[in-house]
Amino acid sequence: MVDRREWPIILVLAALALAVPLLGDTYYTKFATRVAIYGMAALSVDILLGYAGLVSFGHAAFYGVGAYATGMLINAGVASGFVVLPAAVIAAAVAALVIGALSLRTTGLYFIMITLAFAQMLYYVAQSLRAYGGTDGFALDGRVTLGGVLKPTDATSFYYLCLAFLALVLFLCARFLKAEFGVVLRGARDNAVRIEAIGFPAYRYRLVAFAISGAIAGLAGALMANLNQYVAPPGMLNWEVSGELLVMVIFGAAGTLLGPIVGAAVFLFFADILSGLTEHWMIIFGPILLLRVLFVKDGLYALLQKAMAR
Amino acid sequence: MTTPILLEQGFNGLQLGMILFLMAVGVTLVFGIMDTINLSHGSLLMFGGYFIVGAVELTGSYGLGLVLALFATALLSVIVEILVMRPLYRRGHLDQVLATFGLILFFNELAVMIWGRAPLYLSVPAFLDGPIDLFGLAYPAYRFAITAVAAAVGSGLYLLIGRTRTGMLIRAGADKRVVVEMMGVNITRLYTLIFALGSVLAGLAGIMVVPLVSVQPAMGDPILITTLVVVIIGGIGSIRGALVGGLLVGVLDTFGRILFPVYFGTGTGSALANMTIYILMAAVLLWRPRGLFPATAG
Amino acid sequence: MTETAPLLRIERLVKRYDGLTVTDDVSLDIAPGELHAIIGPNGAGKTTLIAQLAGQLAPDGGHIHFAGRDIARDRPPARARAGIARSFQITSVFPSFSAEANVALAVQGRRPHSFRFWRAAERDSALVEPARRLLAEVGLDGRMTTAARTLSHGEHRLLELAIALAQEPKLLLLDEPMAGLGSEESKSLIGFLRTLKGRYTIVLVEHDMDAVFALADRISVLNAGRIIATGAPDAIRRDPAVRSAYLGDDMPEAGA
Repeated sequence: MVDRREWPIILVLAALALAVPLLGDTYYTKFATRVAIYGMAALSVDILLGYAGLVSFGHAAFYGVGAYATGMLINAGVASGFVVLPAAVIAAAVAALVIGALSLRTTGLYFIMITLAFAQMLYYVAQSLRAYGGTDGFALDGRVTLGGVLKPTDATSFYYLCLAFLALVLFLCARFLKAEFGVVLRGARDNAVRIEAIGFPAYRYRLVAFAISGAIAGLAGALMANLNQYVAPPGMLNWEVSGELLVMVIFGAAGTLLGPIVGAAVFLFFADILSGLTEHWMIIFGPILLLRVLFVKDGLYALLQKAMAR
Repeated sequence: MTTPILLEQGFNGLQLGMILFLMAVGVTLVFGIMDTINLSHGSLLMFGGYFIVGAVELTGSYGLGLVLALFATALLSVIVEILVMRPLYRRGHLDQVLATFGLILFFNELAVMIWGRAPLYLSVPAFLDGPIDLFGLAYPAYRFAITAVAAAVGSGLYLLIGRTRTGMLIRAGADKRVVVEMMGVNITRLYTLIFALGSVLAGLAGIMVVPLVSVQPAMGDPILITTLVVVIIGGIGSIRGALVGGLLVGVLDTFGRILFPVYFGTGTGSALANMTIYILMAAVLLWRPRGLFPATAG
Repeated sequence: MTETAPLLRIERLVKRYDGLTVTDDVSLDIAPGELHAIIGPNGAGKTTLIAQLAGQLAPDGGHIHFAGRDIARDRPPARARAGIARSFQITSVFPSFSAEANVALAVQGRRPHSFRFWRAAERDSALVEPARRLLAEVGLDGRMTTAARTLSHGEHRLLELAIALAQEPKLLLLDEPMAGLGSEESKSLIGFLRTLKGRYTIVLVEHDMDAVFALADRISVLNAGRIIATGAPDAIRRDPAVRSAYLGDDMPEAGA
């Protein structure tokens, strides 16, 4: 997972990340914040894809649940981050447990289709919430406060908060993926038959992984709700978001922890640059994705790893 | 709930179900025979809708426009199959999902660039304008025609797959690709045929719904997702499953939207209404994980 | 021989596929410590039988009694916990793991659960030490840190076995452990399997008759899903029903 030779890359990326606000323009800070948040969401997808061997095309569901839980609580008067954030994470984890319990009874294309379907269901449910703006969504009354002391209302402090959460998530994931739990997960991915033959009921481990992954996506959604001060079905719960998260993982490198974050940076960078050129940038991006899938094997982070290995 | 309303909603559910059936055929055949998913299947519905609008405008005739639109859809689907699908058959499911996702993004933006973001409209063809009498109910003739056409297609498919040599090859291709190849049949062309068949049906669905809901970019994608629900419920690789699944989903969704808000109020009611078909899908998954009528392999 | 209760009792096992009866009323007792070979011509149903013993396939009828319980409905994880380990005919390892990690994972499988999220598994000596010992025992001590996917076929067969042994089973189901091995490697593996005799109860499915006659205490012959003969190796060798079942197939002459 973290090879000795990778430390230089990690340190460089960490230094770059910390230095962004020094550029002075909040545009860059906000961009980096979005990278951190989407990176976290993409990481949650990669835990399943790269480590458990499960392709979830429905992670927008957990991302959206985290965002909605956050918005609903803040607008109900609960401003403390110590309540709102855990609540959002737990809500997303519960959603993931329920959806996972059903979806994980299937494999392969079935699993992909079912995760997509359940996420779409949540999109429609959110659309039907008149009290929360339906398709238009609703604005948040403010950001979370942390103990009344930290009020991350300006871009820089919120960015560092997100970075801190990202670092924490990365650290915890690195630990559990190397622990007994992670080893079983990876074994189940490598050989579903043998893992059961040696005594592990794979379903249980996958379900827990799915819940953890959903929880992380929920945290990302909660942070995004805070960043945008707005929550709405399009942009958070629509199925394209699930697809974009998968794209970010692939662009970076599946099966690594930093890959998805690098991939998120690449994706958002592309989107920003291309949309500056033309409003029809998807006409360029679609084929790029297609060609990438058909012809290029490694994500950017994987290429970096290979470069360091030489 | 009065009888005329129930009857009308029943027919609407039937009509929606038949549209979903047309969509599901393509998905279930491609999934069942080529073990491939094409997320841009919904785009074929969208293009069918755009083609009929353009063709009618070009020729002034619905009949001629219909033929042109179907032909254009077939042509488009063959191009997609050759350029995109062929390399994907051998790839894993993740690659298929991502590549066809890229295709959707491209297609939707293409539609915006050619036809703009605003919906385009088409009137119901004159000979189908007006109501017909169904069990005492005045029901729109056009909606009935959709159901009838889809039913005719269904019968045609049943005959094709069950009674013709091509149909036998389709069924055989699902089980024993090697045997079919040894018989001297060109598997590549068979796959193209299957893909084009499914896509033309999606295009037909799009052609038929335009007078009801207009056509706009990305309209096919939510329908594709509902189609996936149909296929999961009905079973992979099975036309019968596509029909039963389609009808179940169409009818349940239609009645759910009417009845849930009546009994649970507009808030909870419409939320529940949206969940109806997914709850059905979950129930089927628990009881019959392979769907109601899966085509068994071998 | 004293009358001890069988460790494994297969009772009237039946399995059907699409109208074909692949396991036809099979009954067999395996004594503790016995090495019982199951042989038969191709298509006799040997792998199907092993799959039902291992829990991969649910039988349509009959019972499988193991250590006092009918385990016929147990799924593989439960069977592993009950003390049954299986090796696969087609190598079934964890390709992205090192040889050592493969075996350590099987050792880990003996723990009540693996819902531990903090401590790195590769630094848990209670997992790694037994794994290393086992790999040394099968002769793979030079290849412990090699990724499993890069091992040679012969090394794969050894790893295959090591994983099953790491489960510390009471019953070992070996499905063609010799598959694809050259004569040197086969002889070596036969020698190793001999060291397992008595320490484990073993059901050995094999085509390699040298191995069968060198190792088996008793042999059962399967043909078209039925057991047509059971007995000591010499008796089986001379049995005319067995010879005719193998008509055209490879049946060794005396000399094993």
